[in-house]
Amino acid sequence: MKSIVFSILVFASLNSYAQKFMTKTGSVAFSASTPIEKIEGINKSSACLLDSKTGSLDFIVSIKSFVFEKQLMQEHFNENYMESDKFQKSSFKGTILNLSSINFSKDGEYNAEVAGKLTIHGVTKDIKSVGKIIIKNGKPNLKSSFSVLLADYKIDIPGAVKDKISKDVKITINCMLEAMK
Amino acid sequence: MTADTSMARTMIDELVVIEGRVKSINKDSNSTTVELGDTSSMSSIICQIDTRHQDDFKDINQDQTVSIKGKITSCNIDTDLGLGSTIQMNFCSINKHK
Repeated sequence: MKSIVFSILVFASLNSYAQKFMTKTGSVAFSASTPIEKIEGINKSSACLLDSKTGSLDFIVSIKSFVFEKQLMQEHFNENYMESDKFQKSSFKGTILNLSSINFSKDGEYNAEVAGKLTIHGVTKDIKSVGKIIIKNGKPNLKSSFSVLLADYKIDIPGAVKDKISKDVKITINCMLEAMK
Repeated sequence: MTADTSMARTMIDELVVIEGRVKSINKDSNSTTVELGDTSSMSSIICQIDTRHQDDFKDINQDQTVSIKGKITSCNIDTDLGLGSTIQMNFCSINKHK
């Protein structure tokens, strides 16, 4: 009888908080603005998967799903710079380095250090970034902001528009995750 | 869903009308994203709503059936992460001509 009660308690504690969290409607935005031109795109259909036990973190972002204020800018982004017919997705595959300092079962705001491989335009680079994981009602909200150089990902800017497009692109992540069922 | 997704992959950049149950809807001050699909499955269709048509979705809630038109931007059959198959659409609005 004791072993049955013990088993139930162990099972209950294992299920007290979820191991994997995900979203398919995460927000990934970028800005390559300069004082001359506002160049911003946002994608609110980004997929993100976080394993709170191992700290693994995955993002998949469809390039064609970025939305811009100006339709022509969106066409240039897809056709001239990102070549989205050829390189349809960007991805990040990494790990939370300070996993032990994040309590996914306790509401609060935690700093997160993340390292992994970022693939953009068919080029994969190691990156390291910091962000925040805000736990509210057991759901993690991932927030981070970091910069990448277009040249690192072989995205060429023609000379005629080089003053209008920043070489240093700021990427902002905001993903509200749900427990994976 | 897999066969449907393979077919949809050939339809990237096409304008389509799709009818389905609202699995989730995320609204904030300047955007709305609707996920269509069955809650028992990981597979779904993600619709980023055209900002000009956001008001049409203010009374749309989870579990409602809606008809949405938009442009297919991505079809992904996920075998690695367990996220199911996903079709993404942009420039979406309510299809008022059923």
